[in-house]
Amino acid sequence: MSGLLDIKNLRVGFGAVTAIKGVSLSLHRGARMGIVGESGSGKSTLGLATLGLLPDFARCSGEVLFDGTALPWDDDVAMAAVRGNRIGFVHQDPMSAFSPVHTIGTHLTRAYTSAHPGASKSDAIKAAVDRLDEVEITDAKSRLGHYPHEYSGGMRQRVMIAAALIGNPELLIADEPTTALDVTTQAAVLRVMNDVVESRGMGLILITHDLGVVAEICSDVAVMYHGELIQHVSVGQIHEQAHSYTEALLKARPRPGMRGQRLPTIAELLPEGWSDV
Amino acid sequence: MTGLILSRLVSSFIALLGAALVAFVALRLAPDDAARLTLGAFATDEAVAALRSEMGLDQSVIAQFFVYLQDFFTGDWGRSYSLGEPVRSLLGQRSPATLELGLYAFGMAFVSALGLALWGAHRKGPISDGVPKILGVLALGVPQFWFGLVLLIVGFEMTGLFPGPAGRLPATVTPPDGPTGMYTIDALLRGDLRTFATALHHLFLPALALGLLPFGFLYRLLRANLQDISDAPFALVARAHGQSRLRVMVATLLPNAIIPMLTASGLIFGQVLAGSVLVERVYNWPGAGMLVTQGVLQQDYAVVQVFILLSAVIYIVTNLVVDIVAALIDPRLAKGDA
Repeated sequence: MSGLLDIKNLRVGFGAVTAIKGVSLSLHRGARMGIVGESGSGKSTLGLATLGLLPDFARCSGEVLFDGTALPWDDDVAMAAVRGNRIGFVHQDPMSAFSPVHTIGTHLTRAYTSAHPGASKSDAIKAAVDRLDEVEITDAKSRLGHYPHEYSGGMRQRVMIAAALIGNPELLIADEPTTALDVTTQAAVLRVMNDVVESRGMGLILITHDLGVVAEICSDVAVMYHGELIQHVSVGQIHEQAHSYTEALLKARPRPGMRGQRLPTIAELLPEGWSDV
Repeated sequence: MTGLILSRLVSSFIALLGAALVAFVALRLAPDDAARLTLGAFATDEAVAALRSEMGLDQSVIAQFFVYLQDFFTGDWGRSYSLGEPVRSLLGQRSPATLELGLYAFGMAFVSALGLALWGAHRKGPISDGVPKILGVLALGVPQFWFGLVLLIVGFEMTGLFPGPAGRLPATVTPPDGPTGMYTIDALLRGDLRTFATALHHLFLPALALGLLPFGFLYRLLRANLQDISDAPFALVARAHGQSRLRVMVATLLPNAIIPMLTASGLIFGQVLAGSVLVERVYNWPGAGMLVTQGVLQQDYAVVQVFILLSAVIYIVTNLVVDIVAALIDPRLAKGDA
């Protein structure tokens, strides 16, 4: 059965460092996968590689099939038709992900017209207002003319979700969407994201550090470690058949009743090829 | 925005007073007696004293300063003793030539810097990015008068493609009559395309010579800013929305990167106008720069002090305009919190 997204033997290198070492992973239509791992484990790179948005000096091999077709990374024009239109992206830092000299309305209408070339301005504005409503921004119409610095972090992150939805994509890649937010805002943004993904029946790849978030939102979990996929199971199975590293990750979470105790840590292992640096 | 304009107007006024003070003091520090200079070495002391009193030189320095200010703003700019004409009419004849040269030089520099910086940032090849980068460095290091001479040798002597250093129009062509005094514009206003083309032909080499330095500066500034800003997360996100590389560059990155270039343009444009003397000299361009050089050499301070103040006015006005344009692009500037 071919899924919505099939990553086949993906390898990504930056200079001397291999960030992703042959990862294969597939995602069913409507599945919601959490990708967890430490900083530097390659999980963000995986998301950007899928969208073909790695920097020019990155070396990529392998392929990613989206809906059965290999994504044409080398063809920027063809990829532009996929981005936003079929795969939406939410960046981790809502403070710097908006151009400070353009209004929120400009950001949204541009995203809309990229997905719908030749669309009229009034259609674009209507779509922008509808998507802002969908992510629960009140008074959306008058807020279109505001600049990013007039929005709070949580609002911006919801706007980013709205912008990712405006091309009506089948898959949403959210790269640590709540890392930059405080805990209450995190919960609100995650709930909004969960709601829209569920009501639209979209696929989701949620890149995160937070196993609790994965348990709440995702159906599957993939664990990455130093550029390798070490485990991919459904969320329910993670305790039953945990890889030793996954087990260590699970143990490292703070839990009730641990007051006064040190959290277990994971012994630092340098990635392969770094020992002689 | 209104607040920004008001506060800039106030600071512009203060800057103008400062400039007036500097020009005034510099003039008073000069050892020569203006009345004696005007009348010459053989005039009687009585005649000199009478003229001093007529010129107001026997009043207190502070009173003289206010008279000087009042005269400047009412358009009474004094008389050039060496040329025997009112400074106002002299500058009125000469300034359009400098302004026209400066506008073309600056316009060419700005447009080519913009185009080449965008092209180089979009397509990072040795031709598209490497060559303009080298050109930008050279432009900052090459002396204007030397470059002007090289252009003359190549464009006039060797190939004959352009007219020699013969001013704004050949003697056989009657300058177009018009409100601006800038020949290309006046010719266009009158629909005289032939004169327009001739005037443009004469402008090209001196404008190129004068525009090289601002080109180098503006190109390097914009190219570096585009480079910095292309790593910003919002560039990535705009592409993730499905916008092509080129569209992101022009519609998202450029408005962010151009603001420092606009700010610098205000200063550079003033510098181009005030510093066109050497190029005017090389091309026999009858502009204000030539007039002022002669004024300095002949201690004709009436001309010099008005020129200093006028340059200050041009600086202040262009910077005011630039500040307002920048605030229109970046709303954070209007609030003064960026």
